[in-house]
Amino acid sequence: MTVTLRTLVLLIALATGASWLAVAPAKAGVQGQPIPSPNRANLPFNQPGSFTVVWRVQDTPVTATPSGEVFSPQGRFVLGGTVIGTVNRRLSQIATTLSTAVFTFPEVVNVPRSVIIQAAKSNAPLTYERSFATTDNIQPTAALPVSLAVTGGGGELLLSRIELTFEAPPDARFASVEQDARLRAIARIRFGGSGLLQARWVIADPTSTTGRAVFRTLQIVRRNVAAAGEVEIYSPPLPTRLQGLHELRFEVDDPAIDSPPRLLYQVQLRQEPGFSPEVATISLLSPRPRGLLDDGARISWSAVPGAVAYKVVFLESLADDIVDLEERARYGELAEDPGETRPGETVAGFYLPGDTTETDVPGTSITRLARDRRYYVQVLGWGPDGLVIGRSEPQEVLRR
Amino acid sequence: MARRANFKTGNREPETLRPRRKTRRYARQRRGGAAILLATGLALALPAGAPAQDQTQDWQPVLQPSQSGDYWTPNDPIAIFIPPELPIEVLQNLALELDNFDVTSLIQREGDFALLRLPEPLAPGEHQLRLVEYGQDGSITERGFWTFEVRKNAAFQNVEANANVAFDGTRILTGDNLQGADDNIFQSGGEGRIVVQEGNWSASTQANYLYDSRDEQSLTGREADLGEYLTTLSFQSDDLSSNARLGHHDIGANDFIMSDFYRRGLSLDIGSADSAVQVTGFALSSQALLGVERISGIEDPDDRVQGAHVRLRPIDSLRDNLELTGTYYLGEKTDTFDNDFDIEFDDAFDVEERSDGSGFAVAADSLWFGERLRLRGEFSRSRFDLDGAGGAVDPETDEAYSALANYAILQNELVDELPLNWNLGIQHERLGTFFGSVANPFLIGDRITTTLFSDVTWDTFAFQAQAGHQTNNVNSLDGLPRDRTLNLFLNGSYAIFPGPEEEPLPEWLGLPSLGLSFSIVDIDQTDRPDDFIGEAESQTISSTASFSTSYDTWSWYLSETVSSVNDTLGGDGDTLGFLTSLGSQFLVGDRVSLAPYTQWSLDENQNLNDTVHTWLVGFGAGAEILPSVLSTNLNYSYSHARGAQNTLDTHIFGGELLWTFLQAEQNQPGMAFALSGTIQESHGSAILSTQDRVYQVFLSLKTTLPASY
Repeated sequence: MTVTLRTLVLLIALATGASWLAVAPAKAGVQGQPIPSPNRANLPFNQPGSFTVVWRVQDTPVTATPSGEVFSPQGRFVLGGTVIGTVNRRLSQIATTLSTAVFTFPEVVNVPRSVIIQAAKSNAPLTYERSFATTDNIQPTAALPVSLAVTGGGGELLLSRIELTFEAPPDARFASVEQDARLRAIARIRFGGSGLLQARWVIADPTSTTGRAVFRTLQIVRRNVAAAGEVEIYSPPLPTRLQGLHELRFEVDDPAIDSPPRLLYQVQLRQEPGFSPEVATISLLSPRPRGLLDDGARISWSAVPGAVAYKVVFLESLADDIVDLEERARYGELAEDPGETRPGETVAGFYLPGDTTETDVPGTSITRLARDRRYYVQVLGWGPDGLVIGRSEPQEVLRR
Repeated sequence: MARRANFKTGNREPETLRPRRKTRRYARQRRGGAAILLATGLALALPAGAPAQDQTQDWQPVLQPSQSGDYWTPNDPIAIFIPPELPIEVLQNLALELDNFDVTSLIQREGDFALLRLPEPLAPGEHQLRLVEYGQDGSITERGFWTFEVRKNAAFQNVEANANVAFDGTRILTGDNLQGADDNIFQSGGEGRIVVQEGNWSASTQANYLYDSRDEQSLTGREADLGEYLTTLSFQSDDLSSNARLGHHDIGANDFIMSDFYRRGLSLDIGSADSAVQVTGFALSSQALLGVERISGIEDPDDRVQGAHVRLRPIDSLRDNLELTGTYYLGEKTDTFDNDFDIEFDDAFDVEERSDGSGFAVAADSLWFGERLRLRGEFSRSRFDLDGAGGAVDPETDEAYSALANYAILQNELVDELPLNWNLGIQHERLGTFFGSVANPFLIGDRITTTLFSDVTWDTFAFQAQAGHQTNNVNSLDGLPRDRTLNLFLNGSYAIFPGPEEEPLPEWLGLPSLGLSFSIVDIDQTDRPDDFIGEAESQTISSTASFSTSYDTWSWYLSETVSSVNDTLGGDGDTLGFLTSLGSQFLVGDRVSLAPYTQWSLDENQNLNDTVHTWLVGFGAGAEILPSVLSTNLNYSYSHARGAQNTLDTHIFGGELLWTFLQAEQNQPGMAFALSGTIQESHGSAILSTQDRVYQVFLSLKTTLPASY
């Protein structure tokens, strides 16, 4: 059988004027020009880009041995005839048939920012090129080039940087937090082009991080982003019930990335100093959110069993980040706090016995609050052992 | 990039309430009922004598020395002698203030003394105590004013140390498909903080760490390593304020050159105590770091930025209304690709990517007309070499500026007894094509943007609107098209919150809130290079509607987002997507909680006829079987995707049963046994047939120690 095949190959080689025993015969190896598909790609300006191309290479006949190789040692970025960058990734496939074959080489090409900048500065065409050869004909055959265009914000969506941090402590990359603490992460993403970002927040909690980490999806993320820029994506509240190590990942499905960024955090079964193990939530019944705080205004709240004293505090209201809000808005993020303020330092307050759940604001406190300004009011409840056993969320009011 | 507003909206102390003399009379603004109520408590607590004209008009309370001698300790009671002859009419009108807190209601009688015991320890430092009497004519007389010092001990005004450390030992009882997981695993994590304060000086340090007997689960590849840390040495006097910081911090610069730059490094700031001047010098790592390697963050000159930041409030009368800032930096960055949390996608050559640059930014921020008008301007110049010395691209110098005006057209105007606010603003920003900074890695240059924005809030109603115009190719490069981008964004939210005197909502409605948002971005290529092949124009639309409501023991939410990208040149980039989210939380009695949730998405490429359905469903549950002793937590999730991106259907079930046999308290360890585990089962879709099953069961001894001094 082998003899028959060899004879057949020999006959074909002879018919084409080449000898299969000779090195680098003119007609063996790659036939015609390899073709890229697609043959053009857009790259967003000013950041690293990438595109996917499939090279189609025809090889006849497959040659010296059934294990002959079809390969391309490197790719080149060519600007107006000058090579301005190379990609040293060898594309290679082993020929396994003796008949005419078509080989396809999928390639994800990362384009450095420096190549894109050079192309934008010049009016010359930018191409990505490869040549293919076979082991028995190492004379390379140039493939048709992939034409590259540098675009602005309208091109295909590409991510160029992802940074994960915790929301609080601000910007931290590792957090050790108490059980049931409120914790969120932020993915800051720099992107080029426009399109729909498809991603997921996934987590492995201590029920698996002690063995093989198993990641479950916390939330599916879909976000339209446009015209190149930066977007911040907040995670849902992260689980903090179980003591131990948690691993959070931001998995991007489209546009695909090689490896997802991750954060680790540790949850402690512990007490916050000055707070009892279980701090009850106090509901502030009046004044209403963003309501008025007149002279003699009445404050009432829900009782905490076991409280020996309450402290009502007035906190300054700090302006939130105007530009931040605007940039969030640009990318369609729902603003969480449309009031644009956050609680700051304590300005005034008063104590009350633990059997009280409503009172008029005393003159000593109300006169410390400037009229026509916003403040936050918060109620804290103390237990007999000097620990806080209840607290309300700070609620914004307007002093009149 | 984010630049924060620097002025506070509600931090001014009224001039009329700054008692500095021992006895002072001033008109009372209004005598509130609260004062009577509180002062009645004082009257009941102290004995009342027969009225005596002299004593009622010119009496002096006396603060008694502390039990500790020259200073008070945090838990010392405060005793004030009140003349026993004072009539009840006077006692009824007394009020006691500690710092800015009215503490009248906490006063107890002990002989002729008013004794104050707070429910919390007094913070170390200087405190002010003030006793006032409300007169019949509406006046307020300051009867006593004292300052006193609270110290932790004789050596230091304050010494505080606390640490929270956990250590877990775990054994795998049984499991399958664990990919060589160790049978015995040890983990530890925690944080600690020490503060020392004496007089004008204070020092603090804080740090966290993680240990895992498997290095692949660690922070840096080492089994045990430091996380983040910060050490601060501060000096604060009446005139001067200075801080030296080593560790992870952000020096507070927020401009084009440096923004949200939280890094490990060293900084020193010095300034006047009244905030008129502050100068900060800094040297910080260019990349975010964890671990003991490069402990100071500034050892590597190839991966470091250094410079100075200046903050001035030059005009006394405008101290809270005008601020000037300036930042200068010089630095280099080497991307080493070894961080899991910061990923740069510029690894085409598989070599280290270097960049370097320098630059400055100056900005003025101001508030005018009763803080109704905010004006901010910034100018910046950068030199940036994106591929470092010797790279293919030469360094470029470029400029950026921005101007912002924001006016409060309505500021706390009462409409139906509720404050109405309306802000209107405009911002114009120009960033040169090659503007860039090592200290602001998210900034993208090359845009001229003009944005109009408006915010309205009234009661619990809020509405934001924004419209913007943007162009690129600022430096008119030959090989780059010019895009014109228009965007419009609308967002509204409303929460229904009836006051105690208003008619309650129907029970079935709970306390609801709802939100609506809409955005559209239209991109048009207005100018193209000759023979350009990269035509790309699109219209992107997103809208979201959300609703949530809460009841006594449960709550739920629903949101729907519709997104579309329309390729206006007729290419194959048209997509349409829907995302629906539904979830709720239940409390069953005091001990059981349940939180089910689901998300469903449909993403369709309309030209290629590709459709992807994704479905996620899950729940979390917790139960206190025996409070503080035996508890359990469970979670389950199922994910499913079909269409162009076929993935496996995956069920994950995890749970833990925790038996706490020693409850942790301050300086006393807590110990618990935990039986926990996970099952993951994956099934192939129509195309994929892979099956994967992982299960693992662990027994852990969990210890924790909250320590404090």
